[in-house]
Amino acid sequence: MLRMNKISKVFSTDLIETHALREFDLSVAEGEFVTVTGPSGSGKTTFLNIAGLLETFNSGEYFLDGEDVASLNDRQRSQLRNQKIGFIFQSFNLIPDLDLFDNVDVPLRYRGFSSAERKKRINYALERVGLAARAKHLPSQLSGGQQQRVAIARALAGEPRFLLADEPTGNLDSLMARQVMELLEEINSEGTTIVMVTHDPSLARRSQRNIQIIDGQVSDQQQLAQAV
Amino acid sequence: MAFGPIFRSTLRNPTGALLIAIQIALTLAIASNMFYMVNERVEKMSRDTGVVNEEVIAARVFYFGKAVDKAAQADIDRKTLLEIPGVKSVSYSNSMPLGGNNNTSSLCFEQEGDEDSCPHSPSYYRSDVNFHETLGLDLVEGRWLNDSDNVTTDAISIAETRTMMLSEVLAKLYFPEESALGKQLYLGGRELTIVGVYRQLLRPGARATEADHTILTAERRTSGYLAIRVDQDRIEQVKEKLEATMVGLNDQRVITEIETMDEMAADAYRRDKAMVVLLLSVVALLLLVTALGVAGLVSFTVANRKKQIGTRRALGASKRDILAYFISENFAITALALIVGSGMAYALNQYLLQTYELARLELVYVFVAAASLLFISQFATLLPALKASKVSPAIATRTV
Amino acid sequence: MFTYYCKLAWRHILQTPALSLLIIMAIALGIGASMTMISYYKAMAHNPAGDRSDKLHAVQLAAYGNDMETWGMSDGFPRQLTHQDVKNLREADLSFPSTPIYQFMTVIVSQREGVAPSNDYAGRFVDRDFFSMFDVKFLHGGPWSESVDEQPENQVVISKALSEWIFGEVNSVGKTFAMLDGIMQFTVAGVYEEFNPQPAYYDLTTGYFPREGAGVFAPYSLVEQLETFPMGNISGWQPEEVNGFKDILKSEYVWQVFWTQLDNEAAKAQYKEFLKGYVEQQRELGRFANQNPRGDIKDVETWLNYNEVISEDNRVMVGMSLLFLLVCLVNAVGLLLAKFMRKMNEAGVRRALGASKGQIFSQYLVEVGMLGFFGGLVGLLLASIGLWAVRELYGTDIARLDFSLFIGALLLSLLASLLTGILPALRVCNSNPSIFLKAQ
Ligand SMILES: Nc1ncnc2c1ncn2[C@@H]1O[C@H](COP(=O)(O)OP(=O)(O)OP(=O)(O)O)[C@@H](O)[C@H]1O
Ligand SMILES: [Mg+2]
Repeated sequence: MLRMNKISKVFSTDLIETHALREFDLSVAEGEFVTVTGPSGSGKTTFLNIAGLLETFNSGEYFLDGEDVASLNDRQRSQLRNQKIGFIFQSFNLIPDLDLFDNVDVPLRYRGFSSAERKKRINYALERVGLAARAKHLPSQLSGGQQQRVAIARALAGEPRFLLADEPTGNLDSLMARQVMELLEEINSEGTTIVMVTHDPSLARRSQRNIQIIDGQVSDQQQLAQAV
Repeated sequence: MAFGPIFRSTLRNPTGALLIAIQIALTLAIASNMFYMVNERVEKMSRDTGVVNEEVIAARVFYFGKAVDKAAQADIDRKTLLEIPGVKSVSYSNSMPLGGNNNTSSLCFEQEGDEDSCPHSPSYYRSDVNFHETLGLDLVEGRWLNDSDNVTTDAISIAETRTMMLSEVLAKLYFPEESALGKQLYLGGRELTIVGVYRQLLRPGARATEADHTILTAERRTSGYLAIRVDQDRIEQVKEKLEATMVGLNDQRVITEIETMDEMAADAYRRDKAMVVLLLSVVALLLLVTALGVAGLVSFTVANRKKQIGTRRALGASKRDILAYFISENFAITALALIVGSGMAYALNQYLLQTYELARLELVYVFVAAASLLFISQFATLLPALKASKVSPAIATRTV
Repeated sequence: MFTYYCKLAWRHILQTPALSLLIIMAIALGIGASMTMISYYKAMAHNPAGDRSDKLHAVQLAAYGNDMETWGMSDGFPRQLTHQDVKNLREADLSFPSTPIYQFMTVIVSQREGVAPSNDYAGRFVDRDFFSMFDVKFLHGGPWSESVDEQPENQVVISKALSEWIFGEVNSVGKTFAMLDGIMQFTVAGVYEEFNPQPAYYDLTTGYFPREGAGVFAPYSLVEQLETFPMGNISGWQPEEVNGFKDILKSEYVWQVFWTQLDNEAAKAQYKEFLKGYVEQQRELGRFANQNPRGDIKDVETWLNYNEVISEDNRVMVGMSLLFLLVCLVNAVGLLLAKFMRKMNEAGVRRALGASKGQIFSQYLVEVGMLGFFGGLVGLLLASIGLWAVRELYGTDIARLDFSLFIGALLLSLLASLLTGILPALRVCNSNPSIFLKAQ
């Protein structure tokens, strides 16, 4: 599903050059649920950004679903993001001026579905996260956990094959965090590949595979036992 | 593009959009009325004088000595001036189109006319018989005035004149069905027979309406204005020499306001020209200010929505989608503002109509102003929208 | 605290230079355009008669024939009078100061070396009362004596500039010079400093804002013997036989104005009564043959309005420039909002650190006021450019920026900017500080 070979990413600012990723190698197979952990500033978000085509890299190779992404232009990258990738952010990133229905609608619009199709998908996604009744509410009227569930619904509505999550539970309490995790596991069990960055070791332990990033490199790959 | 969500989102946070809309609506209301006023003036200034403008010089002649025989002096003047190279024709008249000394009188069907039988008040020229030739007027029907129209060769005034010529417009107004030739009308109670109709000759002064309602009568002893037709390339030389030549022939007079027809037009239309320049400057500034305002507000919106833009990009929006989003949002706001603004344009026009003597606004000016505003507004949006499209999608994963 | 706010405001202005400049320019353009038009309007609306305005009265007579019900101005009066009527009014047995006026052109011969030997000048025939009625300030000598109004003598009052042109820098009272045909000699009775009120209310028939005033004033009593044609507007309601100056004097053409000074209501009533009697008397003599023969008097203020010294164009332009100012201010509101929104976080932190709503509000208003002040200054600069353009366009010398306009412009821009600043400043200080702590 995802294969990175010797990916390097350098941020050059006025004063210093930050090597966020150095010769980063990683493969993720179809259907896997991978958690990513590591100290702050080690390059986790940078990896996720590159994986999700939000950012370009300086050197190395990256194949997404067998396709070399380096050669794609903005339009193709956007299309790829739109069709194959779902995103869940730590700070939810719901659009405050849009109600839940319109928020979930955003990626579907760019997909060009018919209005009937969009409506069906939005309702299904909102039902799935248990917020169908609140479709006309604004994000500011929801709790953090509810907002994150809307964000998940938004990611799911396009039925992506690949779901990327950057500390999706970072702003939630542990009960909420567990609920979100269960939802993600359910999605994974239906065949969606998931890569999730987390600081929570207990969540990391629940996944099939955990990788640790230290100083821009994968330090150690270990198979974790299925946690109960 | 998806107007639905854009519209709903704009409605939830309407301040910026509202400010743009107010500005555009006001601008449309003001600009369309200004365009209209400008056009009215330009049309007024560019109307046909009936004169071969580029070949005619005029001057005012004042006698201060007693008992000058003006007719005899005019003959001497004419003879001398015609000897100057380039001078083709010389004539005296009481006034000139666009000049001073406007004589008007009501023109009636009956001698003791009431208002119904005197529908118009034309200006009348009392000129010698060379006037039409000097100005280069065009004959439509009948004949030009000649010496036979000066009843006696001596002291002649309009009191003894029996004939006149009308402008084509005036002839049509009085005799819409038939030829005006040979018909009689009463000018200030005196019966005059129409012997000819000329195409056009503007009134003295700079009147806006009924400016082509004029009458020509022949009078040998007229004075006030001297008109000279000159070859175009000699016009400056003749102008320079004129005062000295005229005073040399008779020093009991003052020659002033020696001007070409173009200069007379510039004087007569000075206020109109000033108004056009001022209106156009204000329109230009208005459009500039509106453009800057729209650009400022859109870049403000872009700065405010950076995170949102990044998120949209992360969820699959291409750069062009972002560009299209802002352009269509602006399009919707501008279009609505223009609809409201057209109403305001008419309201403003209505007010101007009632308070001042302005004509009714024509739809085409609202269209022109609206089209230019739409263009300006969209153009002003383009730059900040391009900036928005360059927002990195990676911003979505950055906390804060 | 105020100086602290000023310091903060100045820092914010520097922090967002492009936006601040846009706001200043928006205010400046609006102020510049509206001040230009208002100044021009104000100059035109000026009444140079001052406290004599309600005393001096222009006299009008509806002296025309029967089929001419509405000849002349909107109220059916011509602006000028016939010579016959002026003669009668002048000789009427009334004790009010009064004067007829009409303009003539003349050649004047210089007695100096090094200037053109002769030149054309505009002059006016008036009576002695003219000088006191219209407040002409004499440098040397004074008006001709009262007897000259009855027994014509070749005396004149000339301007200082003309006196210098003829005689050089000397007191020319008592000296003589050649005028009109260049031979006839005239004695200088008085020299005045300068006389060119704007608008030239004493005789509006020859232009409202002449660049130069009359150079020569000659006794009206000379008119009939000098036979000097008028240089100005002559109108008639019927064609008449006019072959010489004598014919004009006898004609029903109107070409002179007549002023009389009526100091109180009783005097006005008396004069109106007199006009009524005069009209009746003339009617019996066969003149004034219209359906409603009548006379009227108008004081200076009324006279200026009646003559439409302020044209419709000027009013329209003032209105348009104020609408333009409105657009500029709406514009400024948007830009200010943009400017302040960027400072929302800072305002939130200040609130969290204990600043009250009022303090935040005043801080931002001070900033707006500062922008308005700069806008006003730039606007004044633009207005002076605009007024220069207006003077060029209309070919006048009036309408210059003066101190009252200077203060007016600054106050207007300050007021306008504070008014526009209220909404954005309220937005900043009313937003809940906790918003900034929440995720966007
Ligand atoms: N846009 C950027 N410009 C400059 N430096 C950046 C940028 N984005 C990230 N970095 C730097 O790259 C390094 C890796 O950052 P990254 O966000 O990937 O860390 P992280 O592992 O996600 O940390 P955290 O757990 O705190 O979120 C850091 O040193 C960071 O300062
Ligand atoms: Mg991170």
